[in-house]
Amino acid sequence: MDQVVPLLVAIPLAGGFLIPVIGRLTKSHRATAILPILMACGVLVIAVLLLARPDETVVYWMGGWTFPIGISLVADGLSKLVVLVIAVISVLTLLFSLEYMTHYTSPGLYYGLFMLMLAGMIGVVISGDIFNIFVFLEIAGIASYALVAYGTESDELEASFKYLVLSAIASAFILVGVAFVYNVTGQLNWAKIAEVIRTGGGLTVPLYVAAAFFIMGFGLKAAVVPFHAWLPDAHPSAPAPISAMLSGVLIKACGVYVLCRLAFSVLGNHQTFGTVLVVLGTLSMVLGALMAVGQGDLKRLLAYSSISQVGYVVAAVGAGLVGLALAKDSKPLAVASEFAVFGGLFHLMNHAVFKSLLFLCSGSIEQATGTRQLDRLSGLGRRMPVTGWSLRVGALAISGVPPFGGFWSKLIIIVALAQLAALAHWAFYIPAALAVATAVVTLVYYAKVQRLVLGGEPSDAAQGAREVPAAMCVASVVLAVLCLASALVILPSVRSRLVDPAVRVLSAAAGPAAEPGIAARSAPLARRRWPRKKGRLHETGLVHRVHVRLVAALDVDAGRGRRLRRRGRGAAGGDAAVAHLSGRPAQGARPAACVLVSGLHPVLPVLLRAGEPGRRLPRAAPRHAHPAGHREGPDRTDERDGQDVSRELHHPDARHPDGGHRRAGPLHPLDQRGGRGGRRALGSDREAVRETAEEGFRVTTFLLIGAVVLLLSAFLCLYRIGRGPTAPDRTVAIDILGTLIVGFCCIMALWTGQDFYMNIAIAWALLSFIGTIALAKYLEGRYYDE
Amino acid sequence: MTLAMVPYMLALLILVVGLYAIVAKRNLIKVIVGLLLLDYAANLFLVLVGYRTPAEGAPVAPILTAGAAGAADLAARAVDPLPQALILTSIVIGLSVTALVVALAIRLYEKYGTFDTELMRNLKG
Repeated sequence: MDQVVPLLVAIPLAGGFLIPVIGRLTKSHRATAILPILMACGVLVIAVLLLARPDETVVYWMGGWTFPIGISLVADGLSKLVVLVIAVISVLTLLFSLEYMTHYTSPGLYYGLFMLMLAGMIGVVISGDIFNIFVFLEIAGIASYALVAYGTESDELEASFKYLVLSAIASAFILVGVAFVYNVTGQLNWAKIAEVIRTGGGLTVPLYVAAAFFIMGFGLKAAVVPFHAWLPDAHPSAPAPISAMLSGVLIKACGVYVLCRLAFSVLGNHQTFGTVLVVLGTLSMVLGALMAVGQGDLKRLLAYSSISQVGYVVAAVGAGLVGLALAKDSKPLAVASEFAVFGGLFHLMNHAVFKSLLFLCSGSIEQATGTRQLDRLSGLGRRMPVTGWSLRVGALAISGVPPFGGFWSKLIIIVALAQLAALAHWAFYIPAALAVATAVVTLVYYAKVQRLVLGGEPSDAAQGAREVPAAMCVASVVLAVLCLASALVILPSVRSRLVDPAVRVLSAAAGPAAEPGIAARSAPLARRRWPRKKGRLHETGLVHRVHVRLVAALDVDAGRGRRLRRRGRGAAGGDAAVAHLSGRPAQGARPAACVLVSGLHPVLPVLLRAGEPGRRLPRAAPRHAHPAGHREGPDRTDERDGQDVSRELHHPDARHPDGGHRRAGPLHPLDQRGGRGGRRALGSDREAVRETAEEGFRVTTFLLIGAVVLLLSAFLCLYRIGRGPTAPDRTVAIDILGTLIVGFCCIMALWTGQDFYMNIAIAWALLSFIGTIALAKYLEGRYYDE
Repeated sequence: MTLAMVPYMLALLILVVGLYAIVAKRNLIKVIVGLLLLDYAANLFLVLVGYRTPAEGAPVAPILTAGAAGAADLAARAVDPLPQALILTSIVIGLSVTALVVALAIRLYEKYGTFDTELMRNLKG
């Protein structure tokens, strides 16, 4: 099996040199295109073959030379996943090129460069050697600079120049990083580098410097936010299939993939890098989306949206890295971290599919109408039904609308971030909240695209538009189907074959083994993490627990201090949630909104804790840590699990030096019994009681002020609703009123400590959001009719 | 910071000079020169990393000649050959990137009649 690995690079590389010759011999464009398509199909077949044994790591030593001399190609779970994505997208874009590129000259050069780029990307992904990654990066880079400039108009040339210069800076940084790493470790093979770092006392200053160079270099390649300047020029300037390749896979293979590989596998388990990735990812996510909103050029809008979506991937993967670094021996945190990594990789796949689709659609539209300015396009939905529907599917998928894959990956990322916030550090709420906000912004600008391009009466440019040729339609339709089909990845059987091996590669590498002492302890833990039902427990455990909380929260009549999460019920709820995620019906399944709400639910404890003075326990009685055997026990109740989670993880480091005892952190407000017990234990501690009483007073005062302000604003809104001269005025006022009610519910929740107010708030927020949009849409439609 | 660090620092200084040229210069040719400097700095740094002083005598080039004492002796005295092999590759890559960027600059000159980036639309800032 390992003999086929080099073919992944060799086939397209041979194509890169063979096809220009064929292009010379034959004048026919289509004849030239046949060989590249066949070659890409060959790569796809090999990628699928490799996935037959997803967990197996295939190592091929070039020329039969082994370790100290040879150069290796490594196909492990992560590489196989990315190679598959690259192969699928390149086959479809080549199919699209078959018709689209007939408007350009020299097809031989185009396909030759395309194949070189493909070889470079696959080379980056399967190379086991950090310097070879650099070489393949440059091969892919040079081919893509030339392809961006392929139109040789001034725009294309400028964009290509800018892309080239910034990319060359990135390459120089990467090379310097390689030099640092080589100097410190004396190795270039990344597996060996990881080994040296792991056994040789962890990270030293030069390695941090190397990591900084790598993050700048690969950050430039991946176009995360401070380094994104080239992307909005380069990606729109290229021919549409190349834009699809660049945005769909190149920034991922050359940027995100290598960042993941380095951060997890090479530099090991370190939260600093994870934190940097989360920050960069969140920035790109938000700023990319905000910049996309104002764009008038369809392809430019798509390019900014790529920055935003790659931000999701980087943030999720970085969060997973932080989580794994903090996890040590905490199983729930490790599971949540892996969930985040899974979400990130899943979103990477999804983004490759829908962004290529959107770029191909933009190419079809440009070919049919001669423009890609949004204000000159309209009414294409009727003129070009196939492209129109594909564009619609792509836009819905990228905005995260339920049946499509994009919804699930975003949901998983958000849930995982919220989980990490609850388990590891509150600061994860920031990326989680921003991810939700960005999803809404994404929905807004893709709604704009759909309305402007597809809706309305045909504009002048769209008058003569005809549906594009069959090959282009087929490529779009297949990608549109893939947008829907990628939702299947959440099924355990599909996931365990495709994405889980990749997650495992990353999490195993970044597992708590950076220090030799922990390595010994982590071995049994690693086994425990993936027990009998391989891959299944992963989600079951997490969603199960989330859902248990949900059941507790939705039980309005729960009463405080009553133990309501009994095992049987919780388990049923958990199964229902799993059934939802896996798309299968289950007994007593709850609607999908429940899963969503349960994702947001971890916000509640923090809010509630702030408002309830009695719950704030500065110091609780020491409490024995669970012996490992107990935690492993199959009949452990979920209630216990929840307590463990909250206690261990609010203060992961709050452990006594002897290791046998741990101090409980602030107790989970849902742990009613624990809270009460703790308070009783504290009864004699007057100091603490006075402290908490004072704080309670302060909190109450603030709540009072907040409530008064909200009421005042509500009255002003009511006035505006009554007075408002135009309908939009009234709509805005209604929307604000809805928001104020949400705020009021939050205050009530803090005041009374009843968390069902929070559920009302969330439900009301959703209703108010949807209601306002519906109302605004209705009014807008009326204006158009007038 | 010891004296031994000076060459490394100088190599990184060239890197910074190259970056400065790319960021601050308006002329395409000067930007390309900056790019070359950046490339050379990275290569130089890599070669410096491979330099080492043997226990006795001066270091020699890692080339096994007919008159040499043997492989073991060479291994004891030669500098690290691997970075040199790496920069050979890197120089070739740098050459092709430079050829491409010069070609782009010529094309841009044909379009605009100038090398001034301020006068081009996308390259401002």
